[in-house]
Order: sequence, then C-alpha cells, then structure tokens
Amino acid sequence: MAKSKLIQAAAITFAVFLAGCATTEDTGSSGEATSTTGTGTTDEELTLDTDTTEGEQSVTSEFQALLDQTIVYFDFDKSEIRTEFRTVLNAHAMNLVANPNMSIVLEGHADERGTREYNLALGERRAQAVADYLMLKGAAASQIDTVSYGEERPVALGSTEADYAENRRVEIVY
Amino acid sequence: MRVQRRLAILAVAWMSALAAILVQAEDLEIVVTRGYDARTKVSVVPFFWGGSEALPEQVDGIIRANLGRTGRFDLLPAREMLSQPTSQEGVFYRDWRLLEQEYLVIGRMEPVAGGRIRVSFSLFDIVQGRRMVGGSQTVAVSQLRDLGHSISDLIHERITGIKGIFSTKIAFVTRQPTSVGNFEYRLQVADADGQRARTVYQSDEPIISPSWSGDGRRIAFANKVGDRWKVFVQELASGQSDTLSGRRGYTSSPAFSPDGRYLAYVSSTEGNPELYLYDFSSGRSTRLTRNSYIDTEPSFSPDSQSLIYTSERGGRPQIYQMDLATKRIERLTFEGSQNLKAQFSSDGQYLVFIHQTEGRFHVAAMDLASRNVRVLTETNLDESPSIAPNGTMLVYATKRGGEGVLAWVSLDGQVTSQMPSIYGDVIEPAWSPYLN
Repeated sequence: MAKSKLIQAAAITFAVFLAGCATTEDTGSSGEATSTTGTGTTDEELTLDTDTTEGEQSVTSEFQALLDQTIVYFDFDKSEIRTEFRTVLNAHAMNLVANPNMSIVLEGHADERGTREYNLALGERRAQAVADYLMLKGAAASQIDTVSYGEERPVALGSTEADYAENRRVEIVY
Repeated sequence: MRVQRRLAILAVAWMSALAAILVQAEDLEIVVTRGYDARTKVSVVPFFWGGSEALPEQVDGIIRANLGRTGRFDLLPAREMLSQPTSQEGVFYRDWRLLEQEYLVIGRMEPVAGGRIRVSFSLFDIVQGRRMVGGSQTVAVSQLRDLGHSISDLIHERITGIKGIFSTKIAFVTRQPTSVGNFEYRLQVADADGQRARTVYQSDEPIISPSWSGDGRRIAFANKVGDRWKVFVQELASGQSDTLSGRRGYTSSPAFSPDGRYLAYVSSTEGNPELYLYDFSSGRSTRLTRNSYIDTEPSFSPDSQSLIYTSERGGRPQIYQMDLATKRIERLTFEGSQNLKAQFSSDGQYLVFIHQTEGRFHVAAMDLASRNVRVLTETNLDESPSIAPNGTMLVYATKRGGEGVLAWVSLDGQVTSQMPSIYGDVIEPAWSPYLN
C-alpha cells in the first residue's frame, strides 16, 4: 500500500516534469503524457494529496509502463545516453527520488568487438553514464551501484549489427 | 584498495575432474594451417626403446610435433627413411643427403633401475657431415614429456640460433556452459603445445586477463566476484592468492613489471577506469591517470621504466606510453580506427596489439623504430595477443564457428596454426616467460 502511494507520488512529480519539458524539447510520447496531466501544473507548485482522478490514474499506469522499461541501449564505442531513453530514465529517477530507501544496480554491457578489458571499461562507463544521469535528476549516489559485465554476458549470441546493438546496453535492476 | 590473503581451496580439484578428459590429448593438437615455403629439412628417426612395456610418451614423437608446429621445418616421414639408425655408428650421411636432408636426430630410450628411463640423443649436420650436439639424461616416466620439450629447445637453438619455446607454458581461460545462462570458467595452465592443461582457478563468473610474473611463478588475473571485479595474484606452486579490489566499480587488467616490483592494474573505484601501480614491497597503490576517459590494458616495457596502455583520450582507443619517472605521455599508434591491448616484444623493438581496420579486428605488429604497422592475421574478432619469450611467435584468441579458439602466428605473419578445444570456448591466452 505504502509503496503504491509512493509510486503515485512519483508519478505526479513525473507528470509535472513531463509537462515542464514538453514545452521545451520533447515531442512524441511525452506529448501524449502532457494531454493527461490534469492534476499537474506546469509550475513547480506540487500538491501530492490531490484527489484521485481519471487523469492521475492514467499517469500512474503510464509511469509504471516506463518503469517496466529497464534496458537502455548505446551506440558502438559510445557511452552517451541517447535522447530517446531520457523519458524512461526520468521515470526511474523520479521513482528513486520518491522512494529514498529503494536502490538499484546498473549493469553495463558491451558487444563482442574489441578487447575484453576495453569492453569491461566501456560497460562500466555506460553504467556510470546512466548513474550520472539519474543523479542529475535527483537520485542519491547511495541508491545506485554499478557493475560492468563487459562483453561477457551478451543477450544476442550472433555477430550481426542487430545482435551487437542489442548487446550494447545498461540493465536497471531493482 | 584492500588486500586480502586467502588460500585457494581448489588446488587439487582439477586432478580428478580433468585427468580423464586430458587423456584425449589428440583433441588439443595444434594444426598448422600455413607454413613457410622454404623449410629446413629435418629427419627425426624413431627412438630405440629397450623396454618391454609400451611407454606413455614417445620422446621422438614430441620432438617431431614440436618442430613441425613452428612451420619452419619439413619433417621426413619415417617410412621414407632409407635407414633408421639409433646410434652414431649407424649414421651414413650419404643416405640422408640422397634424401636432401639437412639435419638428423636419433636417440635411444632404455629402462634403468627404479622404473626410470635413460634417454640419449644426437643431432647431426648432414651437409657438413658432423655430430653437432648430443646428451643423455635419466628421468621418471612422468618426466618424458618435459625432457622431449628440453631436447626440442636445444635442437631448435642449434639449428636456428634462436632459443626454443617448447618448455614454456600458456595460460588461458575456458568457458563451458553448465545450464542455461550459466557457465563454468577455468583458468588453465598448459604446455606450450596445449597439452597437460591443469586448472589453477575456477569460478562460475567470468575470468579475464591472465598475466605472468617475470619469473613465471605467479599469475595475476581478474575475476568477477558478486558485483565487483577483483584482481587475484596467485602463486602457482601453492595455490595461495592475494586480491586487490576497490570499494566501488571494478578492478582488473593486471600486469607485472618485469623486475617483479610492481603490478599495474585498472580500477574504476573513483568513478572512471584509471591506471594504478601496486608496489609489492610497500603494499601501497599509486594512481597514475586522472581524466574522464577510459585508460586500460597497461603493460610494462622490458626495462620496467614505462607503461604502454590503451586510452581513448584522443576520442578513439589508441596506444599510449607513459614514462613512470616523469609521467610524460606519448601517443604511439595513429593508423587504424582503434588500437588496443598492446604488448612489447621482449627485446623492446616492436609492439603487438589489436588493430581495428575496416570494421575488423586483427593482430598487428608495429616496429617502434620505423612506426610501420603490419597486420599479421586474416581472422576477425582477434583478442589478447601474447608474444612467446623468444619473440618468434604469438598466441591470440579468435572465433571460429561461434566459439573461441586459440591461434598462433609467427611475427612475420607467415606461419599460422590453431588449437581446437574440447572445453568449449577458449579465451584470453597468455604466454609464460622462459621457466628455466
């Protein structure tokens, strides 16, 4: 019960956040979110104890859908967060902010090209990039641990570009 | 950095489990896939055996296999020999000249008291018509293979002028699936021909980056333990090991300094993968790099005065050299979109490393005087090149049919060979220094 309240609180914060950034940069899926942010305001004014309305329910389930996305993918030899994953990571950051006792492990992975040590470093950098992003959005360092697997745990076992793209990832583990 | 001491409890575990498998030694035979055009012609006559029971090891067979694997020698099959002498009196140079042979090896094995074997051998120069070298030694049956390697080393040195590497060892990691998504990793040490592999460490988490100490007595490697990677420094004789690990992040990529004083390694405990130097005498670590880029894969110069390492400080991973006294840094590689995991040759005259060109990863060598880069391999996804102590060959890991295999290539790129494995994936080979 307490946990769902917290998720709801995080969802509302999240809706406010989306409403805020929709006006500046995000389009597409976040535009959808803004249409349902009846309870939120675009200002920083935030009331957590608003009544449960249709709009809020919808925000909560959409928020949960974002939290269900736990894999972030990367370009070859890169550890920069791609813009399309910001919405998902924003949701996870909000969730951590709203639940200070919650902690996650970020598992960084690389594709098989290059040496094992370099890929171990790359996996670490990717996990660290996600950690930095989440902390920038308010998560506490104490809530986040990182572990690199390098190229040792591929999800796709083939050697095509599509396989490699699937393997260059950070998995968020609660 | 914490240093822990513990006793490896699996020092004997390999014996029962692996002994049975290792009898199928022919599965580990190294196959020469390409050799020199003009090879030295050598005849190794089957050695005389004076005992009644068959021996588990044929010393002449070991010599023949060792010489053959280098790709430098053309070995005359026994059935084509006009005679098969087992002592100097039976050697007629004319017979061997008719067969255009350049060198001849003969030998005898005789049982002596205590179940031991007396092995004697001679090497002849057919062109000059003289005995070059010979000797005899009495060994236990279990030492016949070691003796075969020693004799091979001597023959190689007398014929080519280069010390042989048949008595050296190769460490590598094997990975076998145990159940869906689970693996068993074993760090193994085998003879240079891949035989007599024994497990020195095992884990159900990845093991990478084995590295030999200069005296060949210790091996350092990295193993994932829970959510941390730790560096282990293990004494081979006792199985006792120390570990290095950080409070956060990973610790990996160990490399001994040739003088034995330091261990270079990588740690991300302060956020970013950086190089550190552990001093064995003080037990303290010093941080060597401090930036927002990846620095990894340190390896010492032969004089222990500098490190070469992989850094992406220029945008892409390239090889850099750091002088340990002045901390001055110089970039060494400029050709190719990526260059990784470099190692010096023991004479310090060239580097070998992984070179990415047109999307493929090959082993390459760079002459440090001319800075010329030569690609040595035709395989792709090559990793972990490790040079033999005599500088003639290197072993590396590559992929064949989706599995990791070990492959060898001569430093001129002319001879290649591969070792199929019965263990599943074989990765991360590391060639030992001379062990005697």
